Amino acid sequence: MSEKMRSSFRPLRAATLAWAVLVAATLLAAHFAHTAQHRQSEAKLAVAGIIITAFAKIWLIGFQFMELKNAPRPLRHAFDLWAVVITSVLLKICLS
Amino acid sequence: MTDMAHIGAAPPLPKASSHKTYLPGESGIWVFVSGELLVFSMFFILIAQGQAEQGAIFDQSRAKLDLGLCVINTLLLLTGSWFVAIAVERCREFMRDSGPDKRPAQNSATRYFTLALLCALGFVSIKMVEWGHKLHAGITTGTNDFFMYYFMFTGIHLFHVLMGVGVLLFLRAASRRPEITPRTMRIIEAGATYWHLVDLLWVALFALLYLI
Amino acid sequence: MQSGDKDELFARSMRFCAWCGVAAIIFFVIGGVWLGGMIPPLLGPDDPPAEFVRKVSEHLLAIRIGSVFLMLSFALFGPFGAGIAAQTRRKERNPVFSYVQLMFTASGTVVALLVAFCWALMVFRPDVYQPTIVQFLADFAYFLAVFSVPVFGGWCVVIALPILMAKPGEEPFPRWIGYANLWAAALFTPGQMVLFFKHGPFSWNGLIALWLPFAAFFLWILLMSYAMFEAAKADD
Repeated sequence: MSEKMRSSFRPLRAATLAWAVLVAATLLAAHFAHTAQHRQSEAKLAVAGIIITAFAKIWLIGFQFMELKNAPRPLRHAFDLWAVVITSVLLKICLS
Repeated sequence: MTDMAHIGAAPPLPKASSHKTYLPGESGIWVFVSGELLVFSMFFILIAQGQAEQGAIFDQSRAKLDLGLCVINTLLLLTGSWFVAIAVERCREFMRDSGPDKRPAQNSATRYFTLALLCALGFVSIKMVEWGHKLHAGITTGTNDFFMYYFMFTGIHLFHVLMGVGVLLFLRAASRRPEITPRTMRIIEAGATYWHLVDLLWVALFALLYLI
Repeated sequence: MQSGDKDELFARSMRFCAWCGVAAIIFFVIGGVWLGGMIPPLLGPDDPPAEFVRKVSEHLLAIRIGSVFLMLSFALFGPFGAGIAAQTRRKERNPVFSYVQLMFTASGTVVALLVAFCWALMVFRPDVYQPTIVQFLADFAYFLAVFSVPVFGGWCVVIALPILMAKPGEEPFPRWIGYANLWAAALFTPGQMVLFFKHGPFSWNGLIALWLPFAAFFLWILLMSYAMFEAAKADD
């Protein structure tokens, strides 16, 4: 395998790994949804799980697919901050 | 513009050891992305507030949504983003490898943009089917606040997806050029970033409208 | 254009157009926000007609004076838009988009002027008009303002296109301004929905169909005025 091919695999592998995580997270969240909608006692925990999973996925999309992992730090940190803030705000509203 | 200065010299970065950062696309697309994130954040908060204030109505209405179809839609957009990420990487290789003495036959990115396009069109079709079901059952934006948000926000998102189809068509055409210059690469990256935004926004809407 | 050839008249004219944009914002804040009750909205699409008459009668003089300021503000959209077109024209060898922009400037200005006319008529003789006429004038004003997405959104798009299509170094404005115009257009689009709602965030007094487009629009004017000031510097 040539050096060139080897060096190009890393970004592709990272993208594929991210995709696999996102798909798994989607299916996991859909499972949480079933709990939230049908089992009253654990509904709040399920709602929290769904929101946190969603924004973790969103962060991963930004970090990996949008290549924020390599981006100038201010932009990357602004994105991280936004993800944390919006998740907190939504949790506060939905769980109150 | 200063951000053009380091394009030719910067292949995709090796991991953590390097301190050099790279902003894909151009600053303008990030202005657009940040702006849309802020606006959609407002939409997310509105849905959450509706959930908090009218929980029973929202839960009942949500039960009428087709979760299965929408999981498929979410997977379509995520897979589309994956294809776009691969395509961008292939374009970078093509740009690196092309030159007067060694030009590869064809940019392998094109087929990935085509696949992403198919994912996008799949999403649009399924969305139309989903809406069709609701409208057929007599449910509209006026039915209650949940369905108002459902139609309006998935509609606004759908508009973004349709723009995204245009962007993907453009990216596909760009990938078929015999040579990809650093400037073209920047524009491809900007288009790809837009597509990932569309995916990202859907993940949030999916969670808030379908799952909680 | 030769690089050593500075056009001072162009610089001063551009600054005039840029100031027109700034003045338009100031007059709108006085006439629409402070005095006129346009935003935050005094009225609502789900108010009964009698309520419209009652509310405007309570603030008659303020809304009347506000309407004059609105007229001043909106008339300035003309020179504001023409300035943007002039800078676009400068970077074209043969004019196309500068002409297209002038068309959108003209349409947008006329639409906006009609808003001011409606607002004034609404308080001309509300005690004589049928209450539904007073309501209609308010509906008309807001529809003109936000239901006109293809006009104002289109204006933003035809500013963005020549920027993004230009060869590097030959853009009329920096590329990020092109993207910002596309974002502004996106923010105007919810306004098109006011036809379908009489209450809630998508109605003409709603958060998403009124506040978002209005805020975006006036910030966009500020942005383009800034862009014109910057363009003027090249010829100082």
